[in-house]
Amino acid sequence: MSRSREEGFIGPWQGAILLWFSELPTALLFLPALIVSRAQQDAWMSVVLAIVFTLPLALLLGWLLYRFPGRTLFQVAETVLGKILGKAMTLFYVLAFVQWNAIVLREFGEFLVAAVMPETPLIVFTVTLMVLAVYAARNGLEVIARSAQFILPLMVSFFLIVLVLATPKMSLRNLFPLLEGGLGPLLLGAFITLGSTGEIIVISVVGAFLQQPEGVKRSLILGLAGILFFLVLGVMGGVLVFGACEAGRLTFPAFSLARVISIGNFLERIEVLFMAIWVGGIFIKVTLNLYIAALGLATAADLREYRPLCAPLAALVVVLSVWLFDNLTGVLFYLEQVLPVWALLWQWTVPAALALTAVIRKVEGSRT
Amino acid sequence: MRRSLRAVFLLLSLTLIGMILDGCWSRREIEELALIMAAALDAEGENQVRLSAFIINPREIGGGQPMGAGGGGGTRMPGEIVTAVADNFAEATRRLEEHIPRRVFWAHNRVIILGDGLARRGLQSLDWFSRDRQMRLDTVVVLTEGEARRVLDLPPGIELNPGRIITGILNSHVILKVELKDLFAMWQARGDNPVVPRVVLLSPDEHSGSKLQGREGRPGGGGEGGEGREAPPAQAAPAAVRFDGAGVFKDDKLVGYLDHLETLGTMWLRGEVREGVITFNCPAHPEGQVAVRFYRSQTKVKPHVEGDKIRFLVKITAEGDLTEHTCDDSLKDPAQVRAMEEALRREVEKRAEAALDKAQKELKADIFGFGEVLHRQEPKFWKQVQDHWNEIFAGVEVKVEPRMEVRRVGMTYASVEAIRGNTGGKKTSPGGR
Repeated sequence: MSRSREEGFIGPWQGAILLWFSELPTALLFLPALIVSRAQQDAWMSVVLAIVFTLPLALLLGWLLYRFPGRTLFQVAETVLGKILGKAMTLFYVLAFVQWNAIVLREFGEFLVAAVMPETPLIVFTVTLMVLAVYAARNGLEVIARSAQFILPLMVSFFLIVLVLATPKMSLRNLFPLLEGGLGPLLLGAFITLGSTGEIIVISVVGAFLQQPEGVKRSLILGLAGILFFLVLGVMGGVLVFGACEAGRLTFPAFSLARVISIGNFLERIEVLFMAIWVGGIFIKVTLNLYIAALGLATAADLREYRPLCAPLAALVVVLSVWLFDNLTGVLFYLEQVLPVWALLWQWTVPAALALTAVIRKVEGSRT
Repeated sequence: MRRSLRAVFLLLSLTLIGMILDGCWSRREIEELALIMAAALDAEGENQVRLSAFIINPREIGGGQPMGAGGGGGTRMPGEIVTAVADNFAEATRRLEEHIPRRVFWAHNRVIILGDGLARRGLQSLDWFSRDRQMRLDTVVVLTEGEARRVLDLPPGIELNPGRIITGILNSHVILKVELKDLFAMWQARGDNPVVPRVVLLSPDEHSGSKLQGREGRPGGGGEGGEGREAPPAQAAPAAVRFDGAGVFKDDKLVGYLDHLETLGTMWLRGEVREGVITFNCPAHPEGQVAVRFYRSQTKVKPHVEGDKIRFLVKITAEGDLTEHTCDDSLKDPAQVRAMEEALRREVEKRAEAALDKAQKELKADIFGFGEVLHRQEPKFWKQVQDHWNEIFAGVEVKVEPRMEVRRVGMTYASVEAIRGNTGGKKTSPGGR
């Protein structure tokens, strides 16, 4: 059994930040409209519910890392399931991450084309971002985490600035009545959100590089808290400004929110800043997914280096991102109808099955 | 090996950066764009639409610094008006581009002017204005009787184009302001109906010539925002616009207009009053006048449902300062200030009742969003009434309870008349405290 593919180590804060980046960039832009169109003004409750439902997953992933300290999910799979099954599962995850990365990349491209530069071919955006992602992923997890740390303050401050500047256009009454449609729409909204919150599965790989076992716990707690905070604010912001009807009608409520800001006729039209920061966030997310996929493939193939795998996988991601969907409606349909179910399978069920097998077969990782 | 790879990579990224820094794929230099600052939407024929747009002339807004070759001095138009007829506005924009030398750019559009012909036909044709990526949902929407196109003829004055003129007036905060997103929200909500402010064109005479003193001919006062409101719409080339009243939509179709007083009442009931002036006669001495400039107002609507009877209690609170006072009472007396507040209260009540009367008896449309209040507070009950809310609203009992507070009386305590008339020291002694 080879040791981890990389000698990098990250801190608990960095772990949490990577969790945020693995979820928020696309979720903030694409999810609000989908949740609001289901749960209306209670969309923020859907988010809270979804995070609550994600807690068991967080516990499960934390437990796996506790039992197999310093091992990535892929190594755990081999330890628990044996060589053949373990490698099969790793390959399954590589494919899952590649596919998910392709969707993220497509979302990125679709948004830029739909909202900003309609005449530019999608592929220009996706290839440009992917080239950058390959470069970053080759530099290892530490570098990814540090660039995330660097982008984070910009992203958070700008996110908060947008919300604060939009307050004159908000009215609190848009959040009422509470629980108008009962629990049904709320759960439906939460279900859609689950497709994104399941993304914390990246901790099962990233967690292996956390400095201490304690770090995993802190990463998970901070990570979930941050996701909850930003996602609730993001969903609420759109509803507060536009009302539930209009927010559910808009394709990108968060972006429209940045567009309507106007303070005293001089501080306005700041959505370009929003975009710049958002592109930074997506970059981290795509890079992280690519890194994980490459690491997984390297584990499965018993390679010493994951680096040579980044570029080919990236090419695969770009091709898939074009090939998977015909149009933006297709992407939204996938996010709303397909992703939650698929996420339940690969982000929830498979790790759970793995943990169960580990318990039954009484496999334990060596504590070092 | 690694080092050479790194060099290749560096070279590759440099080339890439060079490609990107060159500019965006969809870049449009500003001198290739026709910036629309105001758009007028009219109905045309059976079911076509006419789009008229005011496009600024970039050479003229440079503030004396000509931007391109051949620009510069002289008194040229700050822009030009172009118009096109088509089946819908998206197509009309393309049609515009057939006879202007630049690409149309919408993101700077500040105002959408609806002609009443189109408004009566319905708001459906506005879909494009929320769907196209160049549109901004904070564009203000106004309505005008007759052709909207005429509003674009506004001559340049302090501001150079109609878009800035209209938004400039709206930013004074005393007039109902409706942005595109508000319009869509009011239209979508089942317990609300759109109200859109109306602009009236003024002839040169009305704008700057013999100034109309609105206050004189009016019993009991009731002016807000200064100018009078009796002027008929001008037919000749307009010199200015004035906001006067508002159009009421039922669902998405224009069904009628509110006059000035009713519009003010609607703003109070919707809680959209931010500041303004209310003028009324002195409570004790009807020959004198009082004007109060108020700010900080709040409107709270509370629904009460008993069985299937619905009542609304509207609590309005506002505070303001006295800005004019020509009665012979002294304002040192707190009782006098209270009397002012009481008179003020009646004024607000009058506005609210005028609006309520019109909405319930004549238009039968809930233009105050009371239905949405009910929706928020009594969601279960709302489910039963939402489908025919406008009819139910017409019979609903609404009680308005304004509470006005006069905080300050300005830089003088009493009017000159009060000092002259009361030298006997009946009420006031001018010297002492």
